[in-house]
Amino acid sequence: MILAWGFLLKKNFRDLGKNPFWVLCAEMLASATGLAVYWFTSRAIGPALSFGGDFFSYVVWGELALMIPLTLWNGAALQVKSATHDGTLEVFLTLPSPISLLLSAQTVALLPRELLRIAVTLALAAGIFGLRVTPVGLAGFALWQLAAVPFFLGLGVLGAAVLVTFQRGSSALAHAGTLLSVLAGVYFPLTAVPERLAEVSRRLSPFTALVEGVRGALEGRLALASLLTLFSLGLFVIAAGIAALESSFVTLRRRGDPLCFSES
Amino acid sequence: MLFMPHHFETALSLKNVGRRFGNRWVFRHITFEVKKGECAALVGPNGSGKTTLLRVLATLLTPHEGEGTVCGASLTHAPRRARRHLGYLPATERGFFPRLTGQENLYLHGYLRGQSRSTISARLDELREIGALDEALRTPFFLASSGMRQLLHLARVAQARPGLYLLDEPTRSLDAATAPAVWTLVKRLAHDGAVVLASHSEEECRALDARIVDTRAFAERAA
Repeated sequence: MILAWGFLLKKNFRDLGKNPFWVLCAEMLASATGLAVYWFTSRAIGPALSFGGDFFSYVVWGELALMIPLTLWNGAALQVKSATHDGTLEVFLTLPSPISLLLSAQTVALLPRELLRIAVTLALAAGIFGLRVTPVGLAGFALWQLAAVPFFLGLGVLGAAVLVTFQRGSSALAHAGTLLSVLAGVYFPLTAVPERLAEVSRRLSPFTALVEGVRGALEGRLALASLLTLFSLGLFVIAAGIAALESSFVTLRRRGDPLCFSES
Repeated sequence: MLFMPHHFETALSLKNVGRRFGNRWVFRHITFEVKKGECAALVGPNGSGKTTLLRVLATLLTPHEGEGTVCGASLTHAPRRARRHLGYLPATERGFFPRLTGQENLYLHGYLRGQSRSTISARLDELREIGALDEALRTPFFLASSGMRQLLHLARVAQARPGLYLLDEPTRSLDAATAPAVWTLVKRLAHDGAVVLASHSEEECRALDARIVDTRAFAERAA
């Protein structure tokens, strides 16, 4: 599976474009544009803000914190759709390896690309726009990202199970991810929204704990107990996700729906 | 020797197998066996259930009645074990990652079956006697012609060396120069494993010494 994963990785980078240099240039341009918008917005409205005025750091770290989780959230469902489209799903379903494992491996193979995006954004934000990056803060950020992988991968696999079972839901899943990430306090602190909405966000959005954890880690508070809780919960969620996805494919094989067999 | 023998006598056994979509039965009470070294050809008109039966045998569809085994593994109760013993050539041109070359795609499939790099390489070398395969291996899949794609699917199935080969129209999209090489390969696959193939050409199947299974009878029984 590790050797196969290497090819999946190669495929993902090749899907981005032919020439790695231009791919990197495109990434840098996209990141620089986003960062410039945040930087000028921060300069314009910063002094009027109630949370210290550094809107730029606030948003950039918030977005960086959710890059990997959002990829994992949508990843497995996107892999199912893409495999249906290119016909690989029909072939993969006849292999002895569990299909949930293959789709999870394909999703995890998207992460190096996200790591590259994070690195490019961080380098530009620190080098050009003066984002403060400390080794301790960066280590805390990395630990939270690592701990969150099983949890969000599991949620994504659960989402893919819903997609396979009901043959719909990928757009709803993507919209829910966007909404929940906004409610997680990426662009504004939860103190800025009505108390009830903030409470709903803390209870419902799986992204909130991560964003708060990352912000705490950047200020030197690692919150190890919360980090370990997220990681342990993640192991449970991923096991549930894999069981649900396998079961959804058993149902699909029984029904014989054209989702996976689009030429039938 | 190109293909190693498998330690089984009956590659496929079906007892009263049936499959329906909604309330419509595609086939019912299908009972037959395919022994090691044998080739069975499903021949019949469009819509007579050839592809559906192959999909049931490939575990893509669950049978709604009856029981089937592939090299001793039940299609219903142990499908993952059954999948270890089967290789399926679908009736589609797709099924590979478009931006990887044919060779990269085949390596990926080999790895997914737990094969080592040297094993895959050796098996692909043995298959290169089908002349047109070489070009198909070098070409990115999205640029490959229909014939090249068909050859890649055949190579994928052949390199896995399962006990039972399920081939849905193996010479579809192939030109007159390549088709005979593929039939020779199918003969060899049948010699060391067992083959169930679907075809519209009874003549070609007879030339292969295949046992003809007329799928028109499936539809009659289902009705």
